[in-house]
Amino acid sequence: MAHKRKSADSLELDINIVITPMLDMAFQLLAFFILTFHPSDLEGALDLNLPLEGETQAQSEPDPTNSDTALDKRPAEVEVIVMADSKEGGIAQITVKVTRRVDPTGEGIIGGKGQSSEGKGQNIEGENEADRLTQLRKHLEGAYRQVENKEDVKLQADENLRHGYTVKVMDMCTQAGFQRVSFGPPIPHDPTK
Amino acid sequence: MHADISKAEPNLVPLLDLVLQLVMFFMMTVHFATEQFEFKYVQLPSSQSARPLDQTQPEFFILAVDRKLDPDGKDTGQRELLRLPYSTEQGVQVIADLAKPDQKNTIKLFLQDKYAEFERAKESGGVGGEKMLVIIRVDEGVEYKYMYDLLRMCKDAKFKKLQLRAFAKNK
Repeated sequence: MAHKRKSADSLELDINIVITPMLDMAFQLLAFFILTFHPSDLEGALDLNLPLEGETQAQSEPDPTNSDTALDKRPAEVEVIVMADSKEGGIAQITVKVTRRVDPTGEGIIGGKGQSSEGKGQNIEGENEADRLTQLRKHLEGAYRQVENKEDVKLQADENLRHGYTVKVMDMCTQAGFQRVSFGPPIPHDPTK
Repeated sequence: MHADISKAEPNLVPLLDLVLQLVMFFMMTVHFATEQFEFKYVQLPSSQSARPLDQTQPEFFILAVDRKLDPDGKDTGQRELLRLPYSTEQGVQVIADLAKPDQKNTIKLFLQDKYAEFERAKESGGVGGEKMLVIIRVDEGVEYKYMYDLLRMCKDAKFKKLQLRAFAKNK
């Protein structure tokens, strides 16, 4: 009887899966992926505001009898003018112009309808480019609170301004709260900048 | 006396689980990078306000403005307008040099032809020219005047949906 019990015990198999080699392999795979991991920047989209007639919109007088048209063509009241330096096409000077459309009767601001306007251009000061961009954003945030048309902002740049800098200025406009950036015709480059 | 010695073996299973999950993460992100469009032609600028791409857009058409460099990396002054294919490097079409005023007409005609082609494709279920998304990839070193010219010409050709591309930068 005792013999029988002993043989039954010896039949119980102790099955252990050896995990260590698998873990070794997993670590090797992990090391490979970590070493070859180069997270490339993700591409994103910047939607454009069309029609692109920032200039034409700002100068034309929308038909006041057609309210829908007047709303659609409401001109941007804030204009950002960027001049480029002659060396690398970087930002040399930024001017923000806030134009508040006023009713000819003087009753108040009515976006897009009025003809007379109060335009002020203010140069953005800053020690370097990053500082100027930060100041631009703060300035635009202030302008955003003042104007009626809180959707549109017009960007007009020096013909030689590099696209990378144009996008940086667009960033500041959208961070200040404006939703659409329209482009004005390029300004001829001033070689003295 | 020997029977009292207990076996102390670390439990490696949770560690293995964790490592396999990490491996899976890295494998997936490697694929993620290759899904994007190849960047050979244009160095896109970085933007904090670039929004994630809409994968549901049924039809689109990719243009690129590239700053052509010589083998030493110097700017040649050429600003090539290219039509890029959807996903592969095969079939890149050089349309014209935006920096040459005499080639502007070529670009205008190309865009008008494309618009007409998309309009014709409407009959076979295409979205048409007006709803066709024109993706514009402009190199960060290209001047404002060329970008503006291209946008203007797209608009003149009656395209309405335009989109610039940039690398999404964290805020």
